[in-house]
Amino acid sequence: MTTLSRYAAMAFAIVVLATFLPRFFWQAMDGQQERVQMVYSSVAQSFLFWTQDRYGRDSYHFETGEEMDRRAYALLLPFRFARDLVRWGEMPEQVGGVDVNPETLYREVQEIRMRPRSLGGPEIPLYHLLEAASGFADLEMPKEVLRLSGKEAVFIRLRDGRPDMEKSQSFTEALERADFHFPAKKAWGNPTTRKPFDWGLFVLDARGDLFHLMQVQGRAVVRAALKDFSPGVRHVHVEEHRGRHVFGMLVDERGGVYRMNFPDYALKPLPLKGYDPSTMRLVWRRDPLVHQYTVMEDNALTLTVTDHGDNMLKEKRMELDPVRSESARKMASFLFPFRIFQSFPDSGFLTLRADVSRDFPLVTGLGLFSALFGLFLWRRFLGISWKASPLDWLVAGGCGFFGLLAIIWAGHVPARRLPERGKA
Amino acid sequence: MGERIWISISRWVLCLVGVLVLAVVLPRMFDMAFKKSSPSSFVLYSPVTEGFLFSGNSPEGEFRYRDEAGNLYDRKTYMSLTPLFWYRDLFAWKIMPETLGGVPITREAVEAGAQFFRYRPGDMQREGIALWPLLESASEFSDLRLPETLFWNKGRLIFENGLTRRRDATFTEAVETSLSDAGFVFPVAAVWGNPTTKKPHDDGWFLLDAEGRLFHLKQEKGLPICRNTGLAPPSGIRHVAVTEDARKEFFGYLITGDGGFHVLMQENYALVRLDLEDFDPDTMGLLFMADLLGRTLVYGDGEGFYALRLDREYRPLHRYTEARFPAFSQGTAVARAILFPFTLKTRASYTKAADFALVPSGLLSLVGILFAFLSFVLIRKKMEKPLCPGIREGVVLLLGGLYGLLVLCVEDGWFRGEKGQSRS
Amino acid sequence: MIQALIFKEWLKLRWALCGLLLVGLGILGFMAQSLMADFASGPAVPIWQNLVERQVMFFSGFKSFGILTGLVTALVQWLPDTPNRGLRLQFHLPFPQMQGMAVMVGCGAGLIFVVSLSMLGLLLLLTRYYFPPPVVEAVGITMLPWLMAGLPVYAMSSAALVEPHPLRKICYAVIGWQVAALYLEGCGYAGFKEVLFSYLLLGLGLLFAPFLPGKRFKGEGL
Repeated sequence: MTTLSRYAAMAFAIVVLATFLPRFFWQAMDGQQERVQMVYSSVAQSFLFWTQDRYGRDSYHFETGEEMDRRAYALLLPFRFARDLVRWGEMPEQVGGVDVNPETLYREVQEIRMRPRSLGGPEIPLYHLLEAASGFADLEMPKEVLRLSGKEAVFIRLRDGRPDMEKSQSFTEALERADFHFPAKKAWGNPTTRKPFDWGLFVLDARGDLFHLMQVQGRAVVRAALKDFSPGVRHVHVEEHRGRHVFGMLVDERGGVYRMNFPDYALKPLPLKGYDPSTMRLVWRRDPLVHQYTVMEDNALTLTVTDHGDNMLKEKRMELDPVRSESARKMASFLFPFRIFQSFPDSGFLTLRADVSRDFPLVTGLGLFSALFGLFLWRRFLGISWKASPLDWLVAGGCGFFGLLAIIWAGHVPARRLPERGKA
Repeated sequence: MGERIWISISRWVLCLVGVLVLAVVLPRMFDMAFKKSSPSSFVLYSPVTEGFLFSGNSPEGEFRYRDEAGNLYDRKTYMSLTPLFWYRDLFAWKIMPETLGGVPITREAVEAGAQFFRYRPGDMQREGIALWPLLESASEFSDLRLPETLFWNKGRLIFENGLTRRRDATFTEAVETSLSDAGFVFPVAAVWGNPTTKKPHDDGWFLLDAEGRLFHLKQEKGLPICRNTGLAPPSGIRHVAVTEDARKEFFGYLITGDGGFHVLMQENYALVRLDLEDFDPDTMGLLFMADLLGRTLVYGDGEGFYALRLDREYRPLHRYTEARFPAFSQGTAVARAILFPFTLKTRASYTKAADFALVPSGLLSLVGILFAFLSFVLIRKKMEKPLCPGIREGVVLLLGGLYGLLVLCVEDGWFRGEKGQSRS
Repeated sequence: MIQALIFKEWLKLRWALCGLLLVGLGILGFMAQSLMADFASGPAVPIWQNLVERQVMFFSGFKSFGILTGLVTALVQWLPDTPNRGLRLQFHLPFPQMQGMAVMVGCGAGLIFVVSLSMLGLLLLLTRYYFPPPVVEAVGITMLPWLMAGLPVYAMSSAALVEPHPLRKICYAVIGWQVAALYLEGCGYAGFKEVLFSYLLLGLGLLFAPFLPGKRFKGEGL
């Protein structure tokens, strides 16, 4: 029993150590990455760079490395710095042959950001379906929530937690008339009142077809958005924008990403190679002339520019200095044969996941061996027989320094007593 | 020596702290059970009916729109009567009148005429950390950025640089020179401003000098600029708030030592005293709403509110006063005063700060104290002890009423009929 | 005689002192490490401004340190003496009983002062390294009531431990808990600035609380 509880304590210690020691190590050792933004200037027809160093000082560069000041940078990006340009009286009337009207620019420029984190995570299958045509200028949060995961649509009033039978029935009928099959697998929307109007929910039905559901004056408006979409829908990012260019972005089950165009729900695959929505961040920005797609990985930035006909104009990939130096990574491999994460980076799920160090197998092996040697020295120092608790050797050999520290923490009491008991 | 004194002090301390703790806990529990939140109305001036309109919950918890006479309106009528606030809806419904009070109404004019700010009694008390940025007010860019230094007041203004984390001697010197040149008499008595970067432009800081005169400090093109506002009200300046707004009509507001509420104009630092009847800056909050046609001020405290309509030259047009529904019904208010002779206030009224003050409940509490004495005598009689309370019992009962009775009950062991406990 | 009593208290309290200082240093170490990481990753002014505007308390790990100090001190000091009546033995020494009690309470309070003041000093040094003086001042004033909470916790848990009657024990514990809660009530930076002295007086006054229970303890069963 003592042995068992000793190993339980050691396992606990190893989990704690493998969670926190690498975290503290990297907090102390992580280098500093400069903040870099790469943008495309339709005026200069080239890429521009904005960097911020660790003191918060900004610098602006051309692709050639030539530096410019903040004003010159702003002048080359009339759609981003429209307010400043209008103030200076420098707003060009035409850019790249297209008329620019600063008054309506807000309708022409749209930006959507997608993070791996937003691609799912735990959620409660209750949705807010805002009233899209209340007749008032301000949107209001609904006083009921919608449940679609059963055999019918149910509106539950927040005031008393009871279902609104009449409304639920009318929505169920409207959905069924549109050939919607209950239960819904998932629904996506943008439940906030801080947007110019409301596009309701995109609902994935039991057969995998995507429907667009809106509430117009208390009644359901349902449209089939996607039928027989073979890769299957994984995620829809809905974002209402005054320009009504797109409904949002759609990610399929194979990792393909599309722009869903307004108003016909037509899917345009993004012109991106090697973009993995589960690990990389994406910023899509549209302006009167071009689309810019920025894909952010840990150590690289890729900016793809297309025209409004989705023809590729330019592309540039930029490697960033790795945040972690090689020597620090070697040191971590030596000290930590694995580490435990409480959560996936960039995901909403809370998990316990072990990540084995694979970067430098030789260094990791050396670390394990050193831990074994450490255990040998420690036992020798305390005068414990090397035959006592043979499992300890396995722990030190398998868990490296975590194991060694856990063994030392768990103590040597049983190890010493066992031989005495043997004699008696 | 002293044995009895130790015990007696200890007994006093235990009794008094018991009374204090009860004076915190019991009233809190009482309030939680019986205090009603008194609904406050949102007040708007209607240029159509030339009176105030109110929206908010009635004491019965029903949301309604009404006027000064108590007539009820539906939401659409209410909005059409207050067109300058709900202009987005009225323009969308195309029912916006073309002129109001002879002034032509356009969307741009309505948007440009609107400004709001709020004053709370807590604004006057200093709390938190007195460390501020002196923003660049004359940047050629429209977004405000944090400077490299922050400053604080130690009789003189001291600037510390965030890059070096050292005192910025040059800038400190430069500010001091510009203050002295403007005729500022050190030490700096008070500093007022708006330290955020989330505002349309920056109007700098207002400083009070040793002779009670108000100065205006800004940073323009990297240089400190100080101007004497020429303001030195005889009753002194209690508070200045800077409320930057795109309208640029005034810097903010100013409260003088006699409680006067003034608007501090951008033009020549002119002071306009608002004709607020019964306004007490120590206990009353205030909401200022400017619109195209005039200004509305709503101020008040827990007992009532006052509404005042001014024209564009700040001349009073219309006044209205209304009492609020009390937080306690009359019965519970009486019960509270009888039960609790005083409460120990541990939170300040208008700020987040802590407090330590005894708040007496008034003469009614004498009834409760009398009752406590009677119960004391009755209990004593039952326990066959001397009926006359000693000094400690007397003080605790007189001070604490019900609290005292409870404390004596535990402290003197009535719960188990101890006899012959010594009195002090 | 007083020296002997103090020595006896020292024997009991020295481990509490070591442990509390270690815990405090540990909290400080974590804090220093995260401050270092924050300040290495960007310019200082936005961090300062963020702290001022959003009232971020990087030292909130110390919030319950005062309570811990008071509780540990009281437990270490009275627990060994109460169940096996060691305290009563002391009351039979040829030495005024309440003075003996005063020496004990004095030692406990002294320990709380030493631990609290050393932590406060170290925290302020650390803060001064990264922040300008107004922040240091605000941090100090914010931290003081948290540390002062150790006094009522110590006094009332001592009273509760020494008191022989179970109902009073519970009452004293509840009073101590409620008073300590007053010291920790959430308020922004330097929220206790105006009332610091009142709360200090309350805390010091409460140090007299354990004497009456001490007398009751002695009287019990006599």
